[in-house]
Amino acid sequence: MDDGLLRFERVSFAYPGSEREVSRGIDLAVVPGTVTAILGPNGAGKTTLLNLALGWLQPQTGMVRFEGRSVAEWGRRELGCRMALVPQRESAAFEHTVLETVLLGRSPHLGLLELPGDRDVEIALEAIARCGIVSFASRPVNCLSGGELQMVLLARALAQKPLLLLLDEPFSHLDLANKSRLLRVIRSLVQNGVTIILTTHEPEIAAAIATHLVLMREGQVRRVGSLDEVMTTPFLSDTYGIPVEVREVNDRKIVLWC
Amino acid sequence: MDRPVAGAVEPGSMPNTSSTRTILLLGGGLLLLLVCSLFLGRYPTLSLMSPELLRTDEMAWRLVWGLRLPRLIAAALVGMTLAAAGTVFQTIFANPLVEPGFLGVSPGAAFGAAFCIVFLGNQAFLVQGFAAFFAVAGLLFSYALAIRMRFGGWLLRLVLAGIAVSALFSSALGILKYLADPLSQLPEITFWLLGGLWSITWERLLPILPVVLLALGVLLLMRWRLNALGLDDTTAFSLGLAPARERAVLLFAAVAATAAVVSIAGMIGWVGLIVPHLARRCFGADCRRSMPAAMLIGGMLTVLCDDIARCAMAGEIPLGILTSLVGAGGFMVLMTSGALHRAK
Repeated sequence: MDDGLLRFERVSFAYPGSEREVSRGIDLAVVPGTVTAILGPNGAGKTTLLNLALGWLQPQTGMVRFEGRSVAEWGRRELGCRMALVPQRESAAFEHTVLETVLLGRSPHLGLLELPGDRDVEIALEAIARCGIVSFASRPVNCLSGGELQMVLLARALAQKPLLLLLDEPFSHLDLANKSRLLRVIRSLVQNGVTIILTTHEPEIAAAIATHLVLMREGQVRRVGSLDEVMTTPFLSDTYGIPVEVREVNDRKIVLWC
Repeated sequence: MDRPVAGAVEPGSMPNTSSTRTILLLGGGLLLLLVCSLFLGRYPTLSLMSPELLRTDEMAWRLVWGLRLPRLIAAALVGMTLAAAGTVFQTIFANPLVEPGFLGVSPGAAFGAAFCIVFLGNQAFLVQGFAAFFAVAGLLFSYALAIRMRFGGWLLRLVLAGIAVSALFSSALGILKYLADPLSQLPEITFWLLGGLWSITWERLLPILPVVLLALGVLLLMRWRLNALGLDDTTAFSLGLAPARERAVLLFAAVAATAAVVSIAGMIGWVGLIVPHLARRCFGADCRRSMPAAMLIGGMLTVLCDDIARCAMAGEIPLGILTSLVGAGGFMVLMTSGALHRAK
């Protein structure tokens, strides 16, 4: 009955007290096992789209379905065991260690008064190893660099053991080496059956990792489709509102702009 | 996707069993301190009473059972509550500078007590009731104001509302002090504001006991959850929590217990601010360990200060002065000791 893990059906959303709709009539289906990049200029409504998928924001009209069921109908913990978010940034007020932070990813799997057990620590350590941050597992998170912290946040989301992983601008604070490392981790996740949705304002990132592309501008989805269909000179120029040119170099799409 | 990674478990990253042992030691230390304090005092001169005396001297028995025991239990509970509530507030507001009374609770209680002393007389029960009532009123006022405020995020609005309501109650307290009879009422108000446990009896302690114990139980049981409630709303939500509801439960438990202990003890400064820091410094930021540690350290600190308050001089030294003195002194040492600095 349903051809998508996550479906947006004519979803519109405006923040309370605001006339401006930050999401307008969005129709979207995310197929399991794919990497969908949501691409668009700043303020296009990319993060809002993730928050709608998460159920944190509820659409005024339309519906977001996860596994065929409205996101609003899922129990909080139930959904937390299936869908995880890597936020854009996080500021730590106290000196929680990396392991303690990653362990919080086990929250949806544990009851209100339950403490994490050995099995949870094991899963957290697996996530830490998968993200390549074992060497600083016992360091406090507020001493880490932006790139290191990004991997910690990813490890925490992996400790949730999600089917669907939402990443909000995961590459924006990373240098080239860290970008490449994160790309490798994401690829290995996809091979293991995790579906990925990520937002980015950098077309090259989308070209490097995505199988599907969603172009957004001013709260609207301009184009949806496979990378090759959508990542074209006219579509990207329309999305960013400036002339850009998509070229292919060594089988990889790059974007020229000025 | 369940590929286990061999060799990922490194010894230093496992939950620390030695800190669990230290926390148990702290618990034993608090019990020992309570037992010793029970026999310490002026009877008639300052000394450690022999337990033998309890069987032979009826006055000694009444002193220990009827006055010292409820007072010591109150001292321990005051410290435990303020430290636990401080941990909750600092974690949820992700702010190391907040303390449990700041949402209008402490100034509300102070106003209530002063109001009662000026207009209704200085009866312990009545003052306690008014202090508790206005402590809760201060919180509800802050909460209602935060809901109506058209500025900033929810936590910022709560902080701002707390500051505004506290200022309002403080100025009202100023008016009451101005109106109070300088010879009889003003000293009473001042003494109450300085905090102390000299008037604690079983009759005053028992009514607050259920609230305090229940609230401390909730805070202790939800301590791991508390870590996640300090994260951003969206992140906490994505981790399967209901951030608004769960924070409300913890804040309510913390404030109810704080209002209850403030109503019997008056203003006990610095415990709620300094002890959570101390616990985090010694046991790490994870509330699984820092929460019980804060409770035990808080309990020991107030019992110790109360011992000094009632033993050091012939007259009673107000407890709030001592906790502030020890707390502020300790804070300065703690914050300037280089060895413990780990964060940037």
